[in-house]
Amino acid sequence: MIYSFFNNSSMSHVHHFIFPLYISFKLPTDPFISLTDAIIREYPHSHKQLRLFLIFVNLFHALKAVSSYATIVSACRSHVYRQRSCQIISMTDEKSIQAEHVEYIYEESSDKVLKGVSLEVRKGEFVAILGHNGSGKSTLAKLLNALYLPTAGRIIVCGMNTSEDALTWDIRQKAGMIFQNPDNQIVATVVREDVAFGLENMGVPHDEMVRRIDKALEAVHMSERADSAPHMLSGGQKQRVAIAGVLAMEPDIIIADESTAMLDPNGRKEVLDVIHRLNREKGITVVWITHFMEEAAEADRVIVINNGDIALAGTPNEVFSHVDEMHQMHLDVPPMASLANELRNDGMPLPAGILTVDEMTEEVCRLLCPSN
Amino acid sequence: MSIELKQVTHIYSQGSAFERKALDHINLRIEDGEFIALCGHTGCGKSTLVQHLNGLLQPTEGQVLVNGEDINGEHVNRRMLRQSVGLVFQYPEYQLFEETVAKDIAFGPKNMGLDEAEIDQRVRRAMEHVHLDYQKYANSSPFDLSGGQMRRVAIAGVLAMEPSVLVLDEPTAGLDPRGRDRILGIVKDLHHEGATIIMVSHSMDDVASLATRMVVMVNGTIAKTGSCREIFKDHDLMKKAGLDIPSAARLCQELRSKGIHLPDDLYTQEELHEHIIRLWKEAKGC
Repeated sequence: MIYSFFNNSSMSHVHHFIFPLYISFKLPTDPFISLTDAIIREYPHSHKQLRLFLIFVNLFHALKAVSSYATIVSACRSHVYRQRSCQIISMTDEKSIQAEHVEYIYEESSDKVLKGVSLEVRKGEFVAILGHNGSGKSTLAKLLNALYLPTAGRIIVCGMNTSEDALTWDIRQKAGMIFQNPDNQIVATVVREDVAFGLENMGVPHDEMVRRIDKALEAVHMSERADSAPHMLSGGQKQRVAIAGVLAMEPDIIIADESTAMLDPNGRKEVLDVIHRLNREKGITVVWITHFMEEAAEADRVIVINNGDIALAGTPNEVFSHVDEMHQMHLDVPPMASLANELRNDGMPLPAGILTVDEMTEEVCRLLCPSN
Repeated sequence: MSIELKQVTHIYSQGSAFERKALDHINLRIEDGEFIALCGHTGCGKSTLVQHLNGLLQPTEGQVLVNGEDINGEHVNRRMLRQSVGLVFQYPEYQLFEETVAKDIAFGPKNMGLDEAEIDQRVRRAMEHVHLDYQKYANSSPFDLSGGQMRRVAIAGVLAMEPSVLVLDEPTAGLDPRGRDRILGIVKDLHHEGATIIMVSHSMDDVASLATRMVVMVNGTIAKTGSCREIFKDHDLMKKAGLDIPSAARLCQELRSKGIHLPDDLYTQEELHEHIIRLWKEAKGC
């Protein structure tokens, strides 16, 4: 009962601190303190020392609660302060992520995985990163939320340098990461608790936590499964739970490393819809690493990584018009871009930058039905 | 080698609160040498179905017949029948465990009780099939390889058992375009050499270029089987099954709706390319 009383309280810290005090001062008459009462009733006079001892015990708890409360408050304040200072930097500076001449070398190999990559991601931008396996794109993703630290150069995320140890947790909260395999990301035995994991670590108050979990699960269409066991879910559903876990942290940036690779078309579409909506409506910056060209085609900007460096960058229309170069890097282009390229090679005067079925339909109609 | 499923029903956790019917009276006959693409929405029962084909799961009701014999039957050589169907799971690279590539591939043949010389031959043949150089990779750790190479090692492990039917559950998932093309190339070669292939796939582009027949599953039942051309034409079915319509098929449909004269069942880029160029040359000629 006491447990649920605390959990339902929006100011649980305060109650943690007041309740033991209340017990200490009202001890002799308090009906709730059954054990103390029982002792007192059993031994009314001869155990004054025990009674005194119990009072001391309770006072000790109260003092402990006061000190831990003070710690929590100061932690929260410093957290708020840091958040605020970060926002000030971001406001004066529209960059969300800034990588400057970043190099990375894995210890065991002598080859540079990244060879001086410089890039910027603006606040609210949706950037897709393409590259074949081993090109360095996953390494780049892990550098962006301080899972790896650059061997040379620096990375600034929301105004925070990833190489500063003290900022690591703030960076990971600001830049949430979603991985490819949902099975490696689920930690709890109930969906709701899995989503709560990050929030609990942040010390978010209970009511706020519940609100965020519900919202996050709704955003990924998993509300109905909030109380299910994750191992009963399909791969796609698990991935949506993992995404909800990141959404619940209300990050400024979401970095996804091939997060749709294991989903079916519907699951992929749902996840993409959610991510695009978060990007559009909440202004969350998205760094989307993918092998699916049609996903990259929907991004604001596409960056192609090859051999540890940026090979191509620009709007999807610009990047995907380099059909032959993309093929040389063992990458696909969206089917319509490739068809347009072949039709152009056969002499059809199609404009550059066709990516979608609708654009293709329009252009082909323009050439085939001159009357329209 | 033919496979036949007769009225196969599978219920998970029967009698518990989690009871779920994953397969509902499935009837399917797969002939020798076919390349079947098994498609459907997540949770439609594809993976459950393929696990029946080599006896990993047993039907709650119904029978699975390989060459006319029930693989779960009493008086048949179950081991032989089950070994004739090789199953490559989703993300098979997670199942690698041996110190060297050669040992990992040899695991299956060893369990079959073959002698050393035969095992060595089979390992070499399997590695050749998946384009891994024996000299270079046989003694390296499978965990030092790239994701795509690890998957090829895992496939080689199944091929070394020399099954006559190969079942692959989403063999290209999570691979980059180069890794995907390699795996599909291997599967295509195996089919040309006479193996019966059953491939579970979400990628309609992969399916379109390889399969001789599609089987579309919806909610534990088979909604339709037919050639890619027939299935891709049926947009309602594709939507119901949660499948992507190949973009060439969508373009074909869109152009037809604008009054351009195209056949209604085009689904590959090459076909569309040919038809559009022809129409354009005709229009220019006028």
